[in-house]
Order: sequence, then C-alpha cells, then structure tokens
Amino acid sequence: MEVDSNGHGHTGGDWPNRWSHLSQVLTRKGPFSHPNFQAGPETLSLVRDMVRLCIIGAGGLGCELLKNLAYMGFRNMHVIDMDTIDVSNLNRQFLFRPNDVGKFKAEVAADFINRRIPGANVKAHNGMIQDFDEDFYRQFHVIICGLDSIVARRWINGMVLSLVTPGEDGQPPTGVIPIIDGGTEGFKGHARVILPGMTACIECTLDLYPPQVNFPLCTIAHTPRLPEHCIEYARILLWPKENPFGGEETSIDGDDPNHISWIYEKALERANHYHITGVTHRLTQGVVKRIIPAVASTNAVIAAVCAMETFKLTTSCADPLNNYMMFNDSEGIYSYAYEAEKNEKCLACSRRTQTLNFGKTKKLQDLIEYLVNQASFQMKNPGLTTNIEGKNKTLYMPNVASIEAATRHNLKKTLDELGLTSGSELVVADSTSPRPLIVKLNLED
Amino acid sequence: MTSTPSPLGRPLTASGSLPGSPLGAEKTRRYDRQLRLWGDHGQTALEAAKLCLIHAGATGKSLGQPRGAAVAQYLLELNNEVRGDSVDETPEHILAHRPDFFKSFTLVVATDMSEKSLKQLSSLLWQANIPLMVVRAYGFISYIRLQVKEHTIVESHPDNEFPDLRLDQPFPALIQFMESQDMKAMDKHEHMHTPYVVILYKYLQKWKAEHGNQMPINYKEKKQFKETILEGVLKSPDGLPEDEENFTEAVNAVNTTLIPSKVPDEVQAILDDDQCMNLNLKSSDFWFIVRGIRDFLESTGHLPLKGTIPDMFSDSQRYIQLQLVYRKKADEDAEEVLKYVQIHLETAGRPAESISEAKVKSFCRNAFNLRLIRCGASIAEEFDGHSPNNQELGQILEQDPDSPAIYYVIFRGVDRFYSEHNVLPGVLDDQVEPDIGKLKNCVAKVLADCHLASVNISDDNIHEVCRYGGSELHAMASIIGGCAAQEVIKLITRQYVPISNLFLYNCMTSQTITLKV
Repeated sequence: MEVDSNGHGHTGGDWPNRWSHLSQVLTRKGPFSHPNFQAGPETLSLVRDMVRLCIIGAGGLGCELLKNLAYMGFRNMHVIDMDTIDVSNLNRQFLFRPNDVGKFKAEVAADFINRRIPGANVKAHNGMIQDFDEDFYRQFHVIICGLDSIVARRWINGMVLSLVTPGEDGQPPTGVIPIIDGGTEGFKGHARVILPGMTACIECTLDLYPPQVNFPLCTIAHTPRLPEHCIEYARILLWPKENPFGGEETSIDGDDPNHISWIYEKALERANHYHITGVTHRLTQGVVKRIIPAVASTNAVIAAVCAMETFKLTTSCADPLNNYMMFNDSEGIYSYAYEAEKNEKCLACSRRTQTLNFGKTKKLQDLIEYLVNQASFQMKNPGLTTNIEGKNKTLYMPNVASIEAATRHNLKKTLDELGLTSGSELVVADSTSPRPLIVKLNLED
Repeated sequence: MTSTPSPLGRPLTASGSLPGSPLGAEKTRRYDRQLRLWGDHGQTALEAAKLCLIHAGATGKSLGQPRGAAVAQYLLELNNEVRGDSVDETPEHILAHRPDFFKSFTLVVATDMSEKSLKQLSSLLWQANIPLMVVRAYGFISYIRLQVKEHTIVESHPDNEFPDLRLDQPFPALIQFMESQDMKAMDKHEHMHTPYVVILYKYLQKWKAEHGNQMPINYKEKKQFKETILEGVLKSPDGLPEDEENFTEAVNAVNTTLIPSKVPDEVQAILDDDQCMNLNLKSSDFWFIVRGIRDFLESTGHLPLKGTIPDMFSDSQRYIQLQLVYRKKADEDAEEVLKYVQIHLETAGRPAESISEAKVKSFCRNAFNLRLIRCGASIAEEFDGHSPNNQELGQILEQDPDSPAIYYVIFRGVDRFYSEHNVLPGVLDDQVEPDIGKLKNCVAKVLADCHLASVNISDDNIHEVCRYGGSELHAMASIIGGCAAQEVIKLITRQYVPISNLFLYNCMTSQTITLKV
C-alpha cells in the first residue's frame, strides 16, 4: 500500500516547500551556531547530494535511523545487517511486517525506505561488517551504529581508527570518519559521538560495557536458589547429557518451541524438587536466549538523537554532542551529557605498544584467559603468534580446526618453555579488532 | 544446528504455552520484549486504551489528503490491531459544538494548538480528570507538558530498591529461624553456606548487646561492625582466613540492609493525604488500600513487609526456608491490610469484596514504592498566572540564565505572538530581525502574567527561536515523540513514573530539564 503524503505521486523529485523546515535552520545563522557554519542553500545540497552515510544494524535502532536520516534530507546511505526478521522484532522494528518474517533485515529496511521516501537511495548489505575492507569504509562521511553487540562496536572502532593518519607537528589528524553510536536496553539508552583519534573511542571506555556475569557452575549444579539456576541446570548440564532431540548433539535453538519446552519442563522439575518458585515459560526463554527487554520508544529517542548529531556534525549548524549522553525514562525522563575522556593507555587509539607483565612459569592457557578476562582486553577467542629468533611461530590459533589441533598442546606449556623471553612481541588476533594487537611481554620470575 | 519450524499462533505444547497469559501465543511472541517490562496486565491496559491525537497546525489540511486520514491509514498498516479513526474537523469546531467528544478518551495528546483552544481543552480535560499531554518540536528545542490532576502508581519499578529485611526489628518467625541457626556448631560446609542475612542478624545482636541496644549508624560504627563480622570468618589450620563468600556478601550488604525501617517521605505524604483520610464512594481503589496500609502502620509501626529477599550465597534449603519466612509474614501482613480495607469499603458503602485479595497483596509488595503525581493547576490556570509553581520557575530563571527552562517561557511567548500576529516569528526570511523585538514583547507579557516581570531573558535566546521560523525537524519530533509515547504508556499502564510536569530538550547543548510549572 502506498499513501503518498504529498498527493502528487513524485518518484524522485522534490515538490515546493519539501525542505522548507530544514532550510530554516540551514540558511540562517543563529547566535549559537558553530563557527564553521556556512548558512545557505549549499548546505542543504551538501546533505542531500554529497554526504554518504553508513548505518550499521537494521534492527530496533537501525530502522529508526534510516527513517530519521532520510527525513532529515540524507539520501545516500548504506545499511549493513546479517540478521533475518523474527516475530519478536515487530513490536518496534517498524519497517517490517508479519509477512517479512524470515527475510533479511537490511534488504527489507532499505526497500521500504526507498519506496516510501522519494529520492532516498539506500543500499542494503545482507552480511557482516567484517566482510568489508578499508576501501569500503573510507567512502563514508559518518558511520552510525545501532548495534547490540560490543564485539561489533569494537571491530568497527578499530577499523575506523585504522583509517586515521595522525597529523604531524601538532596538525589535526586526517582521514577521520566520525562514529555515532547508539545503544538501548529497556528504558535506558546512550548516544555518543566519536572522532577517532581525537576523542574517546569505544576501547577507551570499555568499562562502560561490563562483561556478562554468569552463575557459578557449582551453584547451578549443587545449590540452586533461583528459578534461573534451575533453567541453567537444564540448559548447561542436562541438555548435553540427555541430548533429548537425538541426532548428533543437537544444539539448543532458542527459537524452537520444542527445545524451550523441554528445558522449561526439566527446570520446573528441578525447581519443584527444591521448592523454588518462579520458573515460567517466559523466563526460560529469556534465560536461554539471553533476552534483553526492548521498547520502541527508547529506540525512537536514541536513534533520533543520533540522527540529530549526524545532521549537526555534517552541517555545523549547531554544536555536536561532546561526547556522551545517557538517557533513562523509567522514573521521569533523565539524561546526562558529559565528555568521556580518552584513555592514554587505550589498546586501540593510543598508538602505544602494550606491555604485559606475566610470570614466566605461567602457561599459555593462563595468558589467554588473562586476555579474555582482564577488563582492559575483554577478548573473545584470541589467537597468538610470535617471532622467535627471526622465525614466525604460531602459538595458538583457535579459529582454524587443523591449526587449533596442531597448536593445542602449547596451551599447557609455560611461556618459558615456548621460548618466549622479556621483550618478545606477541601478535594477538581477535574478533574484537580488525587488526592484530601487538603486545610486548615482560616476563617475571 | 537443526530447527523445527514453528508456525505462528500455534500453541506451543500443552504445557509450553504460557499458562494464564491473557494475550495468546502470537501476541506473546510479538510483544515479548516489552512484556518483560510491563507484563501482560500492562499490555492489556494499553490495548484497552483509547487515545486522541490532535494536530491542529496551519499545515493540517494543506496536503492532498487530510493529514489525520493518512496517519490513521499508516498506523493501521503498521499494526493491524490498531483501530484508528480520523476526524477531519478543527479542534476549535469540536470544542465549540460537541466538547464531550474529548471526554471519551483515556488520554489526549495535543500538538500545535493555539493558546485559546488549548486553554479550553485543558479546562475541559482537567474537569474530567483525563490526562492531557502537549508535545512540541520547534527548531532545536522540544518539550512535553503534562497535565494530570492526579495520577497514582503502585508498580513504580524503582531502579535501585533496598531490600526489606527488617533486621532492626525482627518479627517472631524471623527470630525463631535465626535462633535455630547456631554458627558455632556448624561444620565448615554449613558455615560457608549460611545466608548472609543470618550472619548480619547474629552480629547485630552481639553489637546491640554491647552498644546499649543501638544499631551501627554512622560511618565509623559501620566500619567497626564490618570488621567484627570479618573476625567471624573461619580460619584454616595454618591460621589464615578461609574464603567465605557469604561473609564478603554480609559486609557488602551492611550499607543497604542495616537501615532503620522507616516509611519513605513520599509514601508518608501519600498516607497523610486528604484523599486517604476522606474516603467516599468516588475514591479509587488506590486510596482505599492506602488507608488500609495506614491503619496497619498505625497498629504495627511498620509498612507491610515486602516479602522478597535478594539472592545470596547459600545452600538451597536454608535460602528457601528464609524466603518462606519472609513470604509468609508478607502474606499475613497483606491479610491484615485487607481487613482494614474491607472495613473502609463497607463504611463508604461499597461491597467488602469489591477489592480483591490479589490486588491488595500486589499493593503491599509495593508499599515502599507508592507514588503520587499531581499538577497543582491546569494548563489554563498556568496560562492565566495561577500556577502555584510560578515562583519556583522564577527562581530557576533568575539563578541560571542559561537554564533550558528559558525556552519554555519563550515558547509561551511564541504562542502569544501567534495569537497576536497570526503567524509564527521569523517565518519569512526578512522578518527574522524585526520579529525579535516583537517576540521579546510577547515574552515580557507572559512573564508579567506569571508575576515574573523581573526575569530577564537574553536577546540571543529570543533571536535563536526567531531563526527557527517555526521549523519542525523530523528527528527533533522523533526524539520528543518517543519520550511522549513512553509517558503515555506510563500513564495508561500505571507503571513507572511519568514526568511532573514539563520536560524540555535543548539539542544545541544536549541538555534536558524537568521542572514543575
């Protein structure tokens, strides 16, 4: 169904006064406008014809972002998302309809915007951000993230940082592509503006995204107290043991009602045994799928704040956010904007080699666990190589099965036994960054 | 990974479908992510609500099709459960000829109304006790003004809730349970798995015995108390303290649990409210139950027990026992409250069973979180200078000349400007400069009406608003529209706490402000 709100059926052109509201703020200087602001019709055509935007994520925030940016006059946009549409998206991802379930989010969202908003030119990429290289990302003026994954944020942050060339002799850096990052969880949200290499980046403030806390296994196995403990018992311990759906170790599919029902019933059984109340079907699904509650309104607010920041940043018509804003509307409406500070030791943007102090009798396994658990690293599945006496040596490589098998025995060896010494450089590859991280070892007795 | 396709709407399995969910399988899936926040009962309230959205801008009919009809059609496309009608009539016309039209709604949202009709609508809805929300996006500024005579909240879902453990004034069943725990006689495993509430209780008794029956109150005493607790950690054969997680939890819980049980000020104000003291047939269930709680408080010295305890390191058996001790006491308290409620219902001429036990129980669980929102005056009264909050607004404006609040006053001036000139300031390019002076005049009149003639608003802020020339930016409308939508949800579900009563966002400084006008 098409309801063309202009009533004239334009397909790509403009109609009188289409941009009059934008023009008011773009063609007039105000007492508070940014010093770089050039008031005039050319700024409007900059928005419409010159600026290219990359929107990462076509979910709760992504749908809102595309719509907002298109109505703010931006036409040239790319959207990247690897996911397909699920029924539970429909309460807020408003570019999708029940008959889109199962289709790619990026494609459906782009088509919708291109059909509904004359002149919009959104290109969809049904894939991962990691599928694209520097040349792809270099074409954009701003990258706007509507992601629910910290790993993906860190990766794109690393990618954009790699495009920056530091300025010499106090000159500003070149190749800076701002990231505008939005995030929501229930009634809470944040929006932030990152000028890579100049202001705090995602890695600088990694402590804002605390790692997920899991229930201790001994509690789940021996001393359950909460309904969640019973659900985790069925999920982690019973499922692999009983393999209820036969075949070769069927893994749990949180969207398969039969799987959820099985876990629910087993959890309920255990809960009844311990007189624990509160195991419900909804809770079971929430725990198994690690569901984070989401409402349309928070997404609408955060995405629109990000769209305004994109508008201000590209036109200079007003000062951009400097540089972090948090939002919470569970009690009244509260927001707070502040300047997140650059971390001088940041892994990603400080351009410093990291030195790692570690006992030489510690095992490679310990080192890997450290890289995963330490707040400043929070890696997912790091692979390590080094150079010993001029020869490259793979210490451990988890992602390629054959190399993993060939290097697994190294995990039990001490750093000393592996031939590492103080000053050895480790090259650490991980999904949290597009580029490997160089770490210099300082071995202690 | 294999997956069995699950057709929409098919009940999962006999035991797998959500027991007792009134919504059915498809809606349960569609709304899953929000049901986790406001529950099935919240969603049911939303679905039963009837909203009225008024857009009365000068552009309202400039398009090929009346805007209302187009919006209604879009909404239906977005969610086919929506039942929408559009009325192609000006609000002025409806107000003049059939004002009762507005009284059929749960809530009314108004945008772009003139000063005069907004005042009329405001008075009408104030009388009818129907919430009215005014929403506006204008240049880089946007705001929501809520008018609600009285809004009561039971499920306010505070972000940080202190546990109600009653350690300072334990009830008999709790004392009995605590006395059954002899930590000195426990083996290592049992000792390490003793819930921290027990540890706190034991050491508190000891402390009180040594300190004239007083709890540790100030920082120094609490620090000392924590040290005493840590002395109780078991020692290994070589004299080093064992790793006892429950003791660490006990120390960490001192600051949040060893607080004298006290009625929060906001709740006390509700208990002392006239509505609570003067119950009659028109009083809502809220006030009857509040009165029951007040009576309960008077007779026992406590609010009804919450009945829930936080998670803590423990063996299963004792945690569950402890949970039951608290839950049982909470149930007993709720029954007492129910008795008082029933007496008051009968006295007022309502059947005793007209408020269910389940409702009273849920109410008692939230007794510490009760909230009441009242606007002291309607928007019409505020416009006429009769708001009780004028002085407060004046203080903010005088103390902080850069407060975002100045824009609210300027927009009141913009409305006055429109009433006088029938055009918004700065609409035409060559009128931006001349309109600054005219708008300044209008702002001065508004301030004088509010008895705030001494407040000075800077020319720069007025100039900035003239620069906008009535510009409505889509993303600005989205920001404030998103906020307004959530406020509507709060008002209808009666969960979470709405603003009281003005919220304003300044996109130039990324600042927001909430104030009472």
